[in-house]
Amino acid sequence: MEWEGSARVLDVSGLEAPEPMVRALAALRELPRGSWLVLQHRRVPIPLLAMLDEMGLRHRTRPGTATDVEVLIWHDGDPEP
Amino acid sequence: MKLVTLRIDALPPMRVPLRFYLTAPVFGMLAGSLLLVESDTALASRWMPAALALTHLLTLGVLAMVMVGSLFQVLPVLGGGSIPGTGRTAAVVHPLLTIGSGSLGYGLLTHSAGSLTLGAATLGVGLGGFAILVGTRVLRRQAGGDALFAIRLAALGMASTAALGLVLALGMAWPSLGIPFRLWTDAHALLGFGALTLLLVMGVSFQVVPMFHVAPPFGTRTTRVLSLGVFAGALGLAFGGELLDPRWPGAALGLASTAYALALLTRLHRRRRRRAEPLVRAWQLAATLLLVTIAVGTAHLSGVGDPRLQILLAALFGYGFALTVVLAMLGKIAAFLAFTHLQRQCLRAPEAIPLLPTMDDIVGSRAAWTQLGVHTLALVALCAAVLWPASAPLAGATMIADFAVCGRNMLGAALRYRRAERAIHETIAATGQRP
Amino acid sequence: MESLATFLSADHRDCDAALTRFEDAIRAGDPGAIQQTFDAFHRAMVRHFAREEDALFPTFEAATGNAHGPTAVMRMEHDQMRMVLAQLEAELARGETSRSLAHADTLMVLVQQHNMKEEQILYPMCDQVCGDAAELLARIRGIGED
Repeated sequence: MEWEGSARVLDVSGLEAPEPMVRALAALRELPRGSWLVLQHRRVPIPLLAMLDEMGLRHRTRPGTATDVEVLIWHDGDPEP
Repeated sequence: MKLVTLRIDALPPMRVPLRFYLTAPVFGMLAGSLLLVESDTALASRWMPAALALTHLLTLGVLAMVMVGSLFQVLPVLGGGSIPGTGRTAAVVHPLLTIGSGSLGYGLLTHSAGSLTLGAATLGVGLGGFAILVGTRVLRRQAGGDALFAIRLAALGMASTAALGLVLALGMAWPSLGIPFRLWTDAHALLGFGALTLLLVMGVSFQVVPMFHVAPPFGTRTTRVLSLGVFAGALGLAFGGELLDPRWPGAALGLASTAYALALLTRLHRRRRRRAEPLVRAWQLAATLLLVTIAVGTAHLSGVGDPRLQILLAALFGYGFALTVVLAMLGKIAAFLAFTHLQRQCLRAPEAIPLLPTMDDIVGSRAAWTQLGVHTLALVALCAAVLWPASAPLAGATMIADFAVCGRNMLGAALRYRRAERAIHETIAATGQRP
Repeated sequence: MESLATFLSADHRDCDAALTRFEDAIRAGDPGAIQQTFDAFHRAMVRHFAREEDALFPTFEAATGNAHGPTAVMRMEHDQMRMVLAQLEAELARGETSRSLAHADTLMVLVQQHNMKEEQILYPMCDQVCGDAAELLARIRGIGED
């Protein structure tokens, strides 16, 4: 896992289901307050986004540079990255 | 009066429900295999790809498959008239449902846009079309007993569940559509379980339990109040959103379904036909599981935050309440249809009567007890796996066994039917040649 | 006034109860009670068939001008039930109680799916089309009463 300021970058674009979701959840369990996860994905992971809502995490999706899609994930209440 | 003739003798050909009944166990065994292979994630969260696929293999590939197949036989008997173009309709709906369940399951597992779209399209046409056909052509008439009121509402539930499912699958395949995925998933699940599955089982039980087990009737007013309570509660929970405190529709759904479960249990307790057959035990088990589901659902709605509760709810209701009844009814309907078709052939040829099997010869009560026993084990294993994930492979294995028993029973019924039919035809041909 | 539907549906329930008593007797295994309950059930069924085939159906057919419609189907289903009744009686005479129970179970399913159709569809129609229902009901009642 790489670091980019207070962000962690996780590339799951080459993985088959359910690995992207499993890895993302594992990373999110260790996500410190004030930092965010940049999830590099080959598509918008709609079910994961629904799950983040339920877990009280915030997210934003943007077109990626290394991969098709990047999802930024941070704790509710933290400043938006 | 021609219409009446069609309505009253609407016995579907054996092959119509049978094609659904033979397909369902295949999807059940696929679901069990998926649970076995993806045992780490399939029950971990309802958003896991394997969990979404597992749910839809069971609800579409098994529950919807059997329910649709059974409606061809059950609706005319309940006074709703036959489904237009019986054989042809089945020949269109069955492949659509089969392709749809398979490709939606695959699409949910792999997040493949193509499979999701194909699944959404085939199921939208197949199930949506079937619900509209049943709702407008069969159930629109005023006739019919206590069952049809609930089944009409269930047809509405089926159409809306299918419509929401279609949008959700397309929304997952094409994220740019930007649909509110989580909210609509909740609505889709609530309608599918409450407004479709529960109401359909209720409707059938209103008619079938008093008659087959010689039990006191539910009473028209009770059946209507309960059906409306369940329908309104499910609808309110699904679409109430910000407007409605979910505890109100939740209470309506909880109270109506509790009252239904208790009414069902007392009817069964007061039945005059004391024979302890598997179907009676299946109804009793289902009613009890509905009460357990309501208790867990109440805990969930009152804010017990454990995400496993949602999965447990789906397991208790879908695999417990609904599938227990469905598997037990399946054996009875297959045996009855096979018997009655064979017997009608003997009406013109009394010399063939000795070749006629009883219903018990077609799907025996031992087979039915085995089904109920293995199914109960599979349910216990599934619930255990939700709470103790390490036991998920065991749940997968018992699930495969559950549907292997079902498949064996259905295949056995089909083969016995063919064998008896051939023997009867040979006897008729042989005696027909005599002077 | 009592409708045809009410009276004939109650007659169905009487037949159901009689079949239930017969099944109970088989399970209890008392040969005297088995024969007695079977005879009672048999009488109830034959009387119900006669009430429909000799009074209700002809009136319905005359009123609607249709002898090949629902009543033809109902007559065929009666024949199906008669066939199982005969098989049941034969097994009983042979002392085959478990086969008798299997036939009783088959008969129960056959009877109930038939009853549902009559009670949901045919009887309500009879009440609408059969003109002087009081006279017809009196005739139906009279059949098999002794």
